[in-house]
Amino acid sequence: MADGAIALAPISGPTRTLLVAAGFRTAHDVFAMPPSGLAKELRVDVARAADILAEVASCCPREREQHPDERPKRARMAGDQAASRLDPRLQVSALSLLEVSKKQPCIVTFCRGIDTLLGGGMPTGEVTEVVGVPGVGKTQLCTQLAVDASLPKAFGGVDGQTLYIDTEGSFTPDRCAQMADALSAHVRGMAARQSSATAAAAAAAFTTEFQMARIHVVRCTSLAEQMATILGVQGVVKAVEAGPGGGDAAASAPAGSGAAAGAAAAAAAAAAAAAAAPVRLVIVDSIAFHYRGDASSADAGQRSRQLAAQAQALHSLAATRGIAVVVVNHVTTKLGGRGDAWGSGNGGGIGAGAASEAAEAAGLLGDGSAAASAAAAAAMAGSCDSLGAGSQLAPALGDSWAHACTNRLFLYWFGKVRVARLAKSPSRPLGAAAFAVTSEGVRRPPAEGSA
Amino acid sequence: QRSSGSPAPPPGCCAAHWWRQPGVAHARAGGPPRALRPEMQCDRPRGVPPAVRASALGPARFLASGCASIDKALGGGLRAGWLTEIAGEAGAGKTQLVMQFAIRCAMPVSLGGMGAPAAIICTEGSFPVRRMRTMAFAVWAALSAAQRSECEACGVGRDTLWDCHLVRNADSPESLVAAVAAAAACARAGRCAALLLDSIAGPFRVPDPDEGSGGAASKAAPGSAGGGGGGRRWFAGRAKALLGVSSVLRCVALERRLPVLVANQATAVLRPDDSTAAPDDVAPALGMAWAHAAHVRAMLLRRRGSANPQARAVRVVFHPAAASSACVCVLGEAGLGEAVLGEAP
Repeated sequence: MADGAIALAPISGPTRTLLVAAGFRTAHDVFAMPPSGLAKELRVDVARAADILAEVASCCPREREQHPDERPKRARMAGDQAASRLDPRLQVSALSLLEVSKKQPCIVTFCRGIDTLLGGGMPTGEVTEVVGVPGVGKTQLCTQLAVDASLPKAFGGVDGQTLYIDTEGSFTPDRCAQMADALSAHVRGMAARQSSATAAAAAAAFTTEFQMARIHVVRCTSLAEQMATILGVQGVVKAVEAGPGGGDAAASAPAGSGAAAGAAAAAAAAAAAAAAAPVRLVIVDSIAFHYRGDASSADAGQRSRQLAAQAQALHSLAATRGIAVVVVNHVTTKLGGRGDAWGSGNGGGIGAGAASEAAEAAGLLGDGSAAASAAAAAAMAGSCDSLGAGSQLAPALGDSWAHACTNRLFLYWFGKVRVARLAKSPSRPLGAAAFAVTSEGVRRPPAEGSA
Repeated sequence: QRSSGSPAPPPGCCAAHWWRQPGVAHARAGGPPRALRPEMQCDRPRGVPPAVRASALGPARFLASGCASIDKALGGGLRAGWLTEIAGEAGAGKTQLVMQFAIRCAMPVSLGGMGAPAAIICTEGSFPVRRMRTMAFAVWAALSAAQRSECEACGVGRDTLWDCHLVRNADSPESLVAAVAAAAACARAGRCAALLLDSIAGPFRVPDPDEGSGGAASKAAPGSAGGGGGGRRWFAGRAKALLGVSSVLRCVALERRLPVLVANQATAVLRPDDSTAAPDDVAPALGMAWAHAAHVRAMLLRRRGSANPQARAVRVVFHPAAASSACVCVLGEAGLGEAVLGEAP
């Protein structure tokens, strides 16, 4: 029972009903507002609100003492009084923020074009949205990032663990192992070139088992599980960082034969070695899947509120812990209208602004013939789906979600080449880069353009 | 409202998952298993699925088709837990492939099956059951004696190979939703080991005169002015029903680790730059709304210019774990089979 709880205070019935219905739970909540704010919340006039305030004050004198009478407006306006109530941690200067941000590491993607586009790699401390048509490589990029997050600091990585929230079931352990193998080989090559003892030791410890043990997969098979995971993501991250047990305690328990026990012991050793690092990357693949099929959550307002809550949770996670958050979104067709209203800038339709894109993409592909790029540009202007030339492809989840992420990366096909376009970023110039998905993972496309 | 004691796990939640929920009163005899006890101390929020290390995820199970080149193109066959879409034009052999997978599903696991019968949802008229019986007999005849005895040891005979759950007459979107729900319930009860849907496009495709031609004719407005408004609403409604069906299928696939195969029709592509099309200018139907639903998308194509009218090609358009690949095969008595070397390419 909380002190000063409205439900238990000796105030009159109608007043209590009014306060509880408006969401006030304790007397502190009531005193924290000026009478005009209270009037607005309770939808009564200011005189009645002042009466209610007086009534609650008489019933809960102790709580009233903690909230002194409202200051006169002049004093409230005074900056020093306001400043004295602010949390000193929140008062930082832009210069100190600049110094902090310079030291923020990035998670490399091993594709030079995308890394240059993003300014070194996927930025930590920010939420990045990856949007694309099916099959263009969103999950491949996410798996590549998950593997890259465990790269040791000696080789330019962040040496962290990954939390992969998989709502679609498309995380493939064998593909992840393939990418991890390629990365181990690459790291061994780098260590050989560096020829220092620490680098060699780090490379030797950087095995596939080590990398896979640092990726934690949470499979959400319903919207409820997705909401619970994302809204409680701070707790999940803490649990991942805390316990080496995790989910494979049960997996290693039924190890029967000697060979299996040996493999389990090796896995446990790798897991123990991997467990000490903080989580540096959280991937949500994808946030849109349960929303697109769930007919029960048809209320658009409720959906926007849920998405806003999830975005808020992810932002606070990124900011407080310095984690890079990557969110994967689907595309949908926008029926009707030309693309010009959507603009060719931030978050617009993928097919918009095709002429300028064709020019920049022709630069991407090297010396592609002008005719081919012009034909492709004309085709792109008509959008790349079967619903007719007027439709455009746009990211799913609507316009309110479009504001939720800090950065936005579009992945699309340009002819036979995959292109990543940075469509929204507060700190980097927009642009596009070509990439390829090979058996080793996401890399830059081969030099002889196969456009 | 639940009395403390031993609360029952919610439906659809496996027992091991339930044990990992913190705060659940463990009044069962003996308490929680020893291996799981350290986990109970961590304060994972309630309702969140457990985080499993990638190295601890189990190996994948596949449902093989019996034709080695198709299995290789698909990365092992139909993967349990994934939704595989196969799109093809009329007469390409999608229903044959669905029947072939249903027959293989009944075979024991050692021979590439799942050990239990499959469930087929048929939306296009009457299902050719007689053809399925013939195919099952042909498949049985093609097995070696050792394989046959292995099947019989698991209780699968020539007559039970083609005995699968069949849901028919799901001709409209509403009846398809009901049929999918029924099949999902059958899967959750553990009675079937694979879900095959033939085809998703049947209830949703209405021959719309300005669907195809309007796009090519005028770039100014979507379709014609009259059909534009109604068309937009129709598309939106269709997208919703489609996504509902795809969501149910994927959730069942994930929960029960079943392979799901969905057959789709194919339309002609008007622009050569469609990213989801095969180069033979056919694309899967149902547009972008459906395209996100499948993990793996493959096209079943006729091979134009081939001497053999039964020659087909299976081309994988996208796949999360393998590069796009293609293979050739031949439609035969026992379904799609290997192409004989020396055939005209």
